[in-house]
Amino acid sequence: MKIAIQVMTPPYSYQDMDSAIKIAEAALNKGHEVAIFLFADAVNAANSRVKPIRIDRNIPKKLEELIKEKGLRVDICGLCMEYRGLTEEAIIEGARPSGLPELAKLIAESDRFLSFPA
Amino acid sequence: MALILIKYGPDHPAEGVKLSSAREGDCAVLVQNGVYWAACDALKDAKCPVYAIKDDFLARGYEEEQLDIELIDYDALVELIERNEGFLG
Repeated sequence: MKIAIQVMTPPYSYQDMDSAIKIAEAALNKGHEVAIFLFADAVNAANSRVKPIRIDRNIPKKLEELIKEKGLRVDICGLCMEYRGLTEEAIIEGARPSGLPELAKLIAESDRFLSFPA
Repeated sequence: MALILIKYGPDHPAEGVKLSSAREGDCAVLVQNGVYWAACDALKDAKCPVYAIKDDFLARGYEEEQLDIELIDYDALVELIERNEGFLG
């Protein structure tokens, strides 16, 4: 089954990214294909330069691990990146800049679509 | 059949509308601050089963037996995602 999850809120300020990651990991472990689409302030979840204190979770690193180890797909709204000064060089390995046409395609091609609205 | 995800607490009017729009065959899952609905009488009127994410429930200071709601983990949530074609977030 293909599952797409859209997140819009900033990581560390809201819990949406954490929820999306936990859902994605559980679904990947069951053999599903999972894509997370980062929209608006959620694009910062793919910023490799994020440096949380050591006792806190590192959200970009966790996403990167899921991409490399479990095949998670992470798409990032390119326009949202530009608005926030997030360059392609700064995003985590394996994530890809994308756009709304790609989001529409992702939704159309997914068996399930979940959204965490702002 | 739709999965209804409730992430805001009872102070958020849209979540009440989402819960009241639930029909038989749907299911609702309380995540994040949505778990505070577990302490509300409004849930008694829900027309569908309502679950709460255990991690989020415990993280907000509740104890497992404190409220009458079924607690689930993320594996169970994925099963609900598999079973429900529709989604209301």
